[in-house]
Amino acid sequence: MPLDITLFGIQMPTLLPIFVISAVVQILLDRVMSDAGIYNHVWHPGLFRTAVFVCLFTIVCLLIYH
Amino acid sequence: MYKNSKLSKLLRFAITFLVVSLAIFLGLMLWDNYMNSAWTRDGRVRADVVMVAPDVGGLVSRVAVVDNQYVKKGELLYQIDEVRFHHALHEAQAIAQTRKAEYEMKKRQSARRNAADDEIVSAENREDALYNAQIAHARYEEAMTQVETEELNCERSSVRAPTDGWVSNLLLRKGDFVQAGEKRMAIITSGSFWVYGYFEEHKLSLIHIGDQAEMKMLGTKYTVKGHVESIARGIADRDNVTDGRLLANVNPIFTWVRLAQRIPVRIHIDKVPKGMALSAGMTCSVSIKESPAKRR
Amino acid sequence: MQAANVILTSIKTFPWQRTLSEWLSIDAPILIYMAKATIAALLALWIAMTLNMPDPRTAIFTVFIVMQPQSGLVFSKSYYRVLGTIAGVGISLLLMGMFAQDPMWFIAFFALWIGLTTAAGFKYRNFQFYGFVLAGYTLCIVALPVIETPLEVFDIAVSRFSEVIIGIMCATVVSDVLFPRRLLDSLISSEQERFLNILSTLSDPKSVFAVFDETNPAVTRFSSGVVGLNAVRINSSFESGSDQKERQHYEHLNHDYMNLSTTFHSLKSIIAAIKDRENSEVLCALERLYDPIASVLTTLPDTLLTPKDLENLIRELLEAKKTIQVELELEHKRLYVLTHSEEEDEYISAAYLITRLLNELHNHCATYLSLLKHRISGNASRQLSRVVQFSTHTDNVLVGLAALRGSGVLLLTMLFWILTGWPYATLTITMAVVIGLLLGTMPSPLDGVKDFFKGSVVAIIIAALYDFYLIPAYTSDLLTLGLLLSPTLAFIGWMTTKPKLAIFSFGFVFMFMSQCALDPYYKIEPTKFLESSLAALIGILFGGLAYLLVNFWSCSLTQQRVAKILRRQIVSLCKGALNVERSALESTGRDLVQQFSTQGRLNMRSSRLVFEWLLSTLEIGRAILTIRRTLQRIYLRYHTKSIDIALESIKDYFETPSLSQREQLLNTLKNTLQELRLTQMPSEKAQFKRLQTLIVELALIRTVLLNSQTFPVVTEDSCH
Repeated sequence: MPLDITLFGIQMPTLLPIFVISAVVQILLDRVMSDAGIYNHVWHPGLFRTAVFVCLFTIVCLLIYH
Repeated sequence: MYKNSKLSKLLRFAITFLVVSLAIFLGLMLWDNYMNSAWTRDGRVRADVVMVAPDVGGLVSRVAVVDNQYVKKGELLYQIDEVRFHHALHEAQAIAQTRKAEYEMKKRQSARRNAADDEIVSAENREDALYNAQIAHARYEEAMTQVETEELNCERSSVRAPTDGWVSNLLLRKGDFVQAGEKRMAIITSGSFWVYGYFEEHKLSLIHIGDQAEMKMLGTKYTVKGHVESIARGIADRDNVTDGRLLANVNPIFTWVRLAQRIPVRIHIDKVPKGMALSAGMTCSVSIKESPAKRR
Repeated sequence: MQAANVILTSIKTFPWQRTLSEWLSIDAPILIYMAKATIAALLALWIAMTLNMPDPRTAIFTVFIVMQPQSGLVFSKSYYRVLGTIAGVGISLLLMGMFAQDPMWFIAFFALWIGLTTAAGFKYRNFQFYGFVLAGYTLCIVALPVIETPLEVFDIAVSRFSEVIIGIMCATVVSDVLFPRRLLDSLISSEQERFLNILSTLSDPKSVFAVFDETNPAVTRFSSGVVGLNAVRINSSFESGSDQKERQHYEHLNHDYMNLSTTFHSLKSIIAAIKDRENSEVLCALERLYDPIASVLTTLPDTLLTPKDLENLIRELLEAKKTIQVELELEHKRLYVLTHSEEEDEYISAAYLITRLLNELHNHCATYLSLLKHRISGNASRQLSRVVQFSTHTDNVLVGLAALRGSGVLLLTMLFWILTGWPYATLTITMAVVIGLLLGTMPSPLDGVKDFFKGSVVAIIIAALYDFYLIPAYTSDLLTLGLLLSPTLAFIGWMTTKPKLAIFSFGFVFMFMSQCALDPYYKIEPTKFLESSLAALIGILFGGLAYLLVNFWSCSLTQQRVAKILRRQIVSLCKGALNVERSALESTGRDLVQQFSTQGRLNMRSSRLVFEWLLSTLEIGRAILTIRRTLQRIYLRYHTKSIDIALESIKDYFETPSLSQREQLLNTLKNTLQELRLTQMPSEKAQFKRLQTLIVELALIRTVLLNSQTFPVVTEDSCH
């Protein structure tokens, strides 16, 4: 994966679209997890949710900046 | 259901703790990779540009090249109207002939007077004749040099490529008047391309001369290979501009967050992929890999 | 009761423990919130400055705008802030791209956009409103400063958007990670309170059979409780761990409560009419009818209910239902000898309402039990498949007025700008537009403007202190800047927890953030500071002026509007489609009255009247729907002409109300009822029931019409 991506003629770091995509994935995942009741088995849902987002985002990013 | 049992409480903590520590670990890794790896988005392709100026002034009578044309060294670029130079040459030649005749005359006169004895020609007259002949010779030499200069002017009225390269941004047209020494055409020297990567100052310690570099050109799939040639040894201090009396004029305001300055690193291009046409001024992102020799 | 319990237990312990627990429950959350707000703001400042954003103040401002004690509110507000910013940025790029060279068109479209967003903000509730406010004033912020240099608009738009995103990220993460407080928890506790309230009110027959108390605050809370809780429910859906099923339960509870309270209040108003006539026989009969309900409810414990208690309660309510049915039949036979049909009507209506009340109470209990079970063990006892929609209604005249005011104030300030040629007048425009957008839905916008002004003045003074003394003297880097800023930030956080200071604190935040030196580097000139402060204050004055001028919304006008809308609703029910849900009817009416009572400056007496009208409309509307539905399924031979005539005359009466029409309608209804009573009762059970329904509903309509002296014919001027 390239470090930079060009969208509509604007050069931006690939992190930016990854951020947006992982945010969307996170929202969907959040819906699924809350309906499945996973948050009942978690001590601190807010922290958990933030951590899941960070994981999602960083894993994809690390594939680029290996 | 679970809420009161100890095991589930532990489980709840464990799940959260696990995910959070994983997130922190990954975050730190990404931070390390992003901030502490030697790469920059701010890279530019540069090249040596020769600014071609004519040696003589005059009207342009012919432009022999088109825009962006590749020229060999010594190829004609454009022609300055030569008629004036030919005339000047003829004039110089005519003067030279006159001088030559004059010199011959003076030489003979001197020889004649030298051969006569003291009763007929005074010593002074003889001496004068000798000097006159020498002056005439020098004047003849001067006229000959003038002829050579005019010949050179004639030759220089056709402007030729100083190196192999590409004519760039050709604005010169037939009928323009060019002054001697006026830059009217740029030639990008072929094979002189290099890349300037502007690296933040804290990343400089990660860069050594000879390191492998990869340049990803903006908006293309091509990757250009190269190596670090040198690192700039100085940039201007933005906070200190000298005033009219050459004293320091230090900026009184200061950003809250100090942003790293960027230092140019010169990268020699080793390999350009096939099908890729490099142009000076292209943007690229540069990442430096440690050279295999240094890796232990 | 719960509070009493807590106090009882805490009295037994040492006094310092009580103090501690009180501190923990009241002061600690505020302190935590202040700390959270400050941390989020400083984080936003740091990130924005590290990323070298041109305007870090926007990020820190965003934090304070979206920061709320409960994280659900933060998410919801952030969501709409992002949407609003996107819309505003988009429209400013569009406008600058199209009309940058053409001032007339530019101003025209600018005014159009501001009017549009004001209107839309007025039409929508909660934080959706806030999204529209932002869409409006982002245009001012992005487009006005670069009007001379249109090429910069893209840079400003991008940087503004990024700053907003930074602020929102900081606010949401901090509020969800550091000591989160969930909206859902407050939702369940308020639902619990409401439930216990219902039970205790209904358990006392006196409260049902007493005359209306004019100053009873429960009456005024009647509408707002439903609308407010619905807002909380919507916002909570952004929180973590709020699953679909739970939210559905809340929706249903709200809906059940709405029905229950309508029935309760209708019953009370009929009983009040009976009492007025001092007809003790009917009253006694009704009290006897109510007795089983009261006896079931009085046996309940006063404390928190367990699912087991609830199951018991539901069983007992079912039994009470049967008893009441038996009682009703007995009474019916006994009362049939009464020849006076008016009393008969009243009794039938009231008895019907009592059975309905019982049914709805039973429903409510069952839903509540299901919610409890779902919360505890995750398996709800009720399948809630039906979707209940909370519909809203907004009066288009109010919306139009707001739009007019929004566009007007913009044009006025634009004129000011063009005439004076003052470079800082762009700030005047922005400020006036913000005032016009933000305070439009306030109960008393002028007081709001005053508060905003006060907040701004205080902010200017404090900002001046920071700009000219504290920051130059004591800061050298971001850390010291943050330390120095944090007391003020915490103060702002404290202010936002006080509902009384809401507008004051908004003015404070707005001004402080725009005047304090929160740039990437310190650059403050006294003249610029003074001029821009002055411009902003003038803008506030312009905004206030707009409220002063476009303010012909008097009390009697409001009453007329409400009456007209309610009448129109009944007319449309008489001839319109049949698929109108009762929940839609109820929620629309409540939302409408809620809006008018905050907008229309009603006094105590007239808001009480409006509330009565709403009740009558709801009952009549519902009855009409039931009659029309029943008519479709009843045998043709019972579908007499007189019923159609009755419906027609109801419609006529509500279309053009007059006293003579009223008499005529009452007579028509009386005749129809008599005719129906005299018909041979069908032997088929279903048909018998349908005919019975017709009689009951028509009687109810007649009783309601008889009782309501002021609606739809407004006879009395309650505004003076």
